[in-house]
Amino acid sequence: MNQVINILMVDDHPIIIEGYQNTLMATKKDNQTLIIDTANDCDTADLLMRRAAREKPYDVLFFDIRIPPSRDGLLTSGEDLAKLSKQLMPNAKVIILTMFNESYRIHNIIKNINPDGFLIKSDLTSSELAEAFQHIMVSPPYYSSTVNQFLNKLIVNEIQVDEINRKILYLLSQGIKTRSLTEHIDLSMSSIEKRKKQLKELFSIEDGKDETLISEARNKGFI
Amino acid sequence: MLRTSLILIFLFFNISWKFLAQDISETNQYDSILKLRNLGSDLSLSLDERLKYSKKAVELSKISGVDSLILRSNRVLSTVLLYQGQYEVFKNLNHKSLALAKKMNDSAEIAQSSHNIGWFYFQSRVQNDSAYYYLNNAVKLYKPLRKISNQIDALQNLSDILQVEKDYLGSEENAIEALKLLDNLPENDTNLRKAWNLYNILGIVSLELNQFEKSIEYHQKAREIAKKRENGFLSMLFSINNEAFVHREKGDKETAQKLYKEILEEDNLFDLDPTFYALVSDNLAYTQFLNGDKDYDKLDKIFKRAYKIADSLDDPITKLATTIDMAHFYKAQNKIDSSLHYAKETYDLAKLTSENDMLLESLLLLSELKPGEEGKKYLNEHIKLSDSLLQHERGIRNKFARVQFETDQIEQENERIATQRFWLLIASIVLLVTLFLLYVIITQRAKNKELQFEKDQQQANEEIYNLMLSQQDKVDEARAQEKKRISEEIHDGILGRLFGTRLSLDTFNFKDGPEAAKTRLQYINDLKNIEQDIRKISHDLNTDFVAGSGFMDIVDALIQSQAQAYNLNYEFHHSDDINWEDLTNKTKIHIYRILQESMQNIYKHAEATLIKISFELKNNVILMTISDDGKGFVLNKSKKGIGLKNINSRVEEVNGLVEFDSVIDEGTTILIKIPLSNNQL
Repeated sequence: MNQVINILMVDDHPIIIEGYQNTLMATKKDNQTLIIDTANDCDTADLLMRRAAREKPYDVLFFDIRIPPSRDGLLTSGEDLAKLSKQLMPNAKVIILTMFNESYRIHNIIKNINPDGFLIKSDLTSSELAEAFQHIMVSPPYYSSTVNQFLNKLIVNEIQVDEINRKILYLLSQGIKTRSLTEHIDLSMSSIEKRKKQLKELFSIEDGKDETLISEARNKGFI
Repeated sequence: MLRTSLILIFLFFNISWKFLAQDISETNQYDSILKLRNLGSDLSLSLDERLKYSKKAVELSKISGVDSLILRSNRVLSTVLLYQGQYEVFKNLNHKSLALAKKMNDSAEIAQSSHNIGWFYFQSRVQNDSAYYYLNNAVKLYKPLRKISNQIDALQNLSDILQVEKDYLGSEENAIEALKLLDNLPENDTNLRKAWNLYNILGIVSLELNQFEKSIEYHQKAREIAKKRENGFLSMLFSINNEAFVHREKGDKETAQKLYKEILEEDNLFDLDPTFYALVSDNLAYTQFLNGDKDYDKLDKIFKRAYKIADSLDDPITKLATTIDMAHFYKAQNKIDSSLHYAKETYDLAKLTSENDMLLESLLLLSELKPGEEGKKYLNEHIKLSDSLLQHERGIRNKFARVQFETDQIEQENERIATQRFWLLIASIVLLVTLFLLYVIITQRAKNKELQFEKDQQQANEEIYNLMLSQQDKVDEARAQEKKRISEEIHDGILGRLFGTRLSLDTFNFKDGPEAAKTRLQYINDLKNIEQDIRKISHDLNTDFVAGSGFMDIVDALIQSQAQAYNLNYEFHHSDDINWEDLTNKTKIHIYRILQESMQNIYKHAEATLIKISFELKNNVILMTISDDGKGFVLNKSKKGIGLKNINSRVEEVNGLVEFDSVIDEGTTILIKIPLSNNQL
């Protein structure tokens, strides 16, 4: 029985899409026919998804996280596209492929999208991609080993860090200064300071330095 | 024994003076003079010896040439001369001392010398006007010196002179002043003697002024004082005699007789003072005669006895008194020949002794006794004499008045000078205080200015520091952004493409054949492109686009704003090989301020249109050059203004060197060398 699988691949680098295509084409089962659409930015992806939802919904969607945003500014990343696809095509399987390997991002993605596949580009090989694809087609989800490691760590860790604190930690790790945090988080300076103090207590930072806090949080898998 | 040794000492000094005069030290000289002086005043030595020592002392003092030494030695010699009775030498010596004392402005010595000279003239009885002059000066000088005893002596002498010259009121005034002063002194024999003298003179003067009661009172006081004295017996009798005389003149002949008798009752009077005894006897007899005693034989006997005593002792005063009395006595009895005889004797004796009163009286008597032309002749002589006496009296009084007036004038002058000096002193003090206050105010103001200046400087430094800090922040931020950009470029671009290529190559691993090889070649070319990109990023990372630009940006902003404000064109070059971030903030602040100061100076003084500023690095020394095309200045002449001073001090602070090079009408170049080694972090 011939199986036709409609696929959308979204990545800003054509060469990556080319890589995915090469791999999937080379490793697909004989009875599988892959129809692959590609998009390099949010607008194209949006257009394709809306058209597909009306005519022939995609079965599998590959999203990169960082892609050029839509012109109207409503869609800014692969995350937004993934959410949209869930609305448009609830049965479609969503696979996130990203270069980001920080736990904060991983955590957010799992929480917000709960994708069927989650692959980290840096430790992805063609065989793993092929395996993941086949696995997801049959029994999702498939998480790559880095993601799994993170999830394991999270379970082991007793420290509870809420969303906002996680974001603070992440932003700090990005080199953003405390005084600029108010631009990114909808909180007053004093409450941000308070939260930082809490975080330092939570991670038992004795020297009170932000650097130490971040490296400790990274060790514990919060970033 | 003592005397020989003293003489030996004296000889020793004498010899040493002859042979060692050149070597002897001043102290020795002074000591020897002092010793000689002490010997001169030594009362246990004979007057001749004392004279010898004091003369030697004066001689040595003259050799020393010290005026004060000469004066003191003269004083000792003067005393000895007085005791020796060498009055003429005494006078001359005191004249010398007076001149010296005046030269030295030593008022005590001036007073003493004046007193001595005055005393001399008074004693010699010929120049009462000179005596008055010197004594008057002495009195005036003694007063402020508080030499009361000396002042009393001089006043008494003055009183005596005035009495003799018939200025009775003046005499009385001086005597009373002396007595007032005497009140403050202790009651010893010397002071009692002085008091007796003064009361006695007051009694005499009062009689002359016809104040009988007062005169009697003074004589009685003198008598009381004489009683208190140890050897005042005769003085007491004199006072009684004088009092009796006053009573007689007053017309109270009974009391006068009683008093005269009282004197004569003293048993040993004749032995003590026979002339006085004779005088009192004569006085008693004449008083009795005036009182109408007709026992002429008895009176005659008394007169003749008194005359005999006076004649035998050759006492002119008593003799005059008896002869004139006897002339009157015989005239009253109409014994014209005898009367004429005694009147003539009185006339001769009075003329001889210059007793003018007696002379006048005898002349009057003679004119009455001698009839006709001869009598007229005596009368004319009488008139002539009394006229001349009156004239002399007036002349003398005028002289005294003049002396008094002159001394008063001098005193006033002195007072005027004193007030002048006082005001001068006040003015000087006021001036000094004003100057001092002015000085304080000026220094305070300067200090405040300096403080203000320092404060301003600090503020300016702070501003620059803040400027640099904010610039540093900007640089940091830019750097962070750049880091992020590069990170993203690597992450999104390079990594993505590498991943894609890797994935594709991975896939084609399983394929063989020319088709696959061709595709692989394509991906390998992609890898090459990626390499290029990485190289580019690496290059971007290597050239830190913000590195070092921070401080120069601030400097550039400064130059731009200053040049715009001062309407100057400018050229600014700085070499990139100076790593400003390694320099301390202090150094950077100094550089900034030097530049600011220099530009200000150029604007204020140079009248330049173009200014060139450059920073270069040579042998680890920063060369900072600021040059303008202004009018320049003469390097040596230019007094260092606060601007140049500031530049110098700042350059010193950074261990640098500064060179000014200026050509008139061409411009000025300031070259500042700052070694990196001393200013790095």
